[in-house]
Amino acid sequence: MAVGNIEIKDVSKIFRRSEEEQTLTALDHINLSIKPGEFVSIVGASGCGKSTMLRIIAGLEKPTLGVVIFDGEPITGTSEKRGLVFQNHALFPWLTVWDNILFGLKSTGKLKDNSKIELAERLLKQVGLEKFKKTYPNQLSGGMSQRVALVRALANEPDVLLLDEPLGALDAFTRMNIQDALIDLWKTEENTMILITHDVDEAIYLSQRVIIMSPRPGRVIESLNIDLPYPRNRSDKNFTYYRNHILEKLDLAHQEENIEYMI
Amino acid sequence: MAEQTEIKNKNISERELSLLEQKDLTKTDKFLRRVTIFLPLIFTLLHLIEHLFFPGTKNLKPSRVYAGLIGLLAIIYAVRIVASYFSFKAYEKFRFKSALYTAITIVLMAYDLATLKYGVLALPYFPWVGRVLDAMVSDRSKLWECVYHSLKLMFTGYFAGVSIGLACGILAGWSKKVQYWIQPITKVLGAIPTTTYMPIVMMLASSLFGGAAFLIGLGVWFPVTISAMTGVQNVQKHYYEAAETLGTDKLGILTRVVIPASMPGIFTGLTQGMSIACLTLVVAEMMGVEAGLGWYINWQKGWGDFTKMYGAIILICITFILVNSLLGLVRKRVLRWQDGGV
Repeated sequence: MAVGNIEIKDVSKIFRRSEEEQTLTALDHINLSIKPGEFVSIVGASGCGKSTMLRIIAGLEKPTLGVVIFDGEPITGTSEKRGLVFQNHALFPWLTVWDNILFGLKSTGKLKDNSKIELAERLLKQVGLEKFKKTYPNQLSGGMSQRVALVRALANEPDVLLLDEPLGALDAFTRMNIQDALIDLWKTEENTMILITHDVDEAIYLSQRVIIMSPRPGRVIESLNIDLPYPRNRSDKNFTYYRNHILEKLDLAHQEENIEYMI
Repeated sequence: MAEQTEIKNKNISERELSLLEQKDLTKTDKFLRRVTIFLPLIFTLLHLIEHLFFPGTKNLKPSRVYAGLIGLLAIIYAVRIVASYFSFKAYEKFRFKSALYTAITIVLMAYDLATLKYGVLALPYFPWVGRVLDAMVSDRSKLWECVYHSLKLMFTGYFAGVSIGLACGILAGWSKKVQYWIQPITKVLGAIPTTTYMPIVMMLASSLFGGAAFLIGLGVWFPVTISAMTGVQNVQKHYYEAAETLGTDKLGILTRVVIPASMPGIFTGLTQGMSIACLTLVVAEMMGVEAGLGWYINWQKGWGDFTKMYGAIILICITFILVNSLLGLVRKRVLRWQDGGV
């Protein structure tokens, strides 16, 4: 497994503000490298540019300055090698669950490859929805839809899976359920995972490394390795230590921001 | 998993659920509900007897065709009563419609008494239903020809308008450049009913059929273009992004995302277009085209044969209702994902 390597080199993203002369710096000289097969979470308060960063990696947006290198090539647009799971699942409501999952395979002309179909079947089974193949997304609950969206992204066998707060809109119980499914999928598919979240517990529970960002302008303030074996225990002493550490950092970043505004 | 057990709990049948929901009904209520389904049959039979055997004051001959139709209706009601004892769904459906069927039968009977039996409403302006049916049967070959011609004209215009409208609308929604050229045309032509241009078109067109088809097509083109354009413009951004990150190219996004996503909007345009097509068809046939039901209505009116005129009006209504329900069926099939039916 040597693919799925991401190098973010000096990336800045500056947005135009409507009706104002000023511009808004969403990302300020970000440098980051993510190893193949790594599970990385990015946490930060809202407005710290973490979603923008993910969209740049996906190729949906271009950085104003700097470059993102993916497996040796600079990213210029979207690719099926970098799958994206949205917060609102973004399933196509006019297609059944199964057709949604096969959408990417059809786009890349891999529909005739039986091994791909088998993979899709296995993934669907792994998230426990094999009975809902012919169901339309409107009939699914939020948690079920998000599982389907995960399978849809993974059926394409992306080298990197980008997760944009995929569990943000779900209730606590469903969320924990899907977190386990996510670890399970990561262990079997062995791809690089980049998760955006505002839930610190989720970041520690899932990832090998947590990247903490500060808002306005978006900067990386710490890259923290989580040295805990899977499956992790949320009430473990070390877990609590990491949680307190990250929360402290986030709080500090928040305070600094306020001070800046007071001056 | 929580979500799956929820689904499993749905295992009680629709009948059991309805019974559970109806547990507050009293015995009398339940008895009345049972009786309701017999009312359409009872009144239809009464109407049949009245039509055939009630003497009245006029002593006119009852219509066999009408009696036959009423009889057929009675048989259908009888079959549905029998079916309601076997299927709960059939019972509920028939019970719901029974009051309406009964009311219609009573109105028909009252009209029959007022015209055929007592002559309160007099000929030639108020022919009884049976007389209209007899006239339709006697002139059936001419009427079939008219129906055929009307449908041919309408569908020629409709499908031409729909295909050009869809192409214009989807492209205009997709590309700003196309929109730049199409928007002004829709803005100017959109507000004017196409029947306005009828005299010009009829004067210039080499064939009346072609001219009328052109007018129908133009009328259909407008709502289809607008609805397809707004439909495409309103496709949510995250559908595009999801398709892009799944490795879909531009053409794939257009055919597999944009078009299906804008289908609900497009069908609004198709339905509006259909009513415009019906309207334009009637006007065109009454004003210029020398065939079809609209022409027949005008022609019979000219001869003062109101019975035949009524017959053609009934036929044109039935035709339009059928065409519209056909479109409704297509719509339901294409948009079945909206209510999520499996």
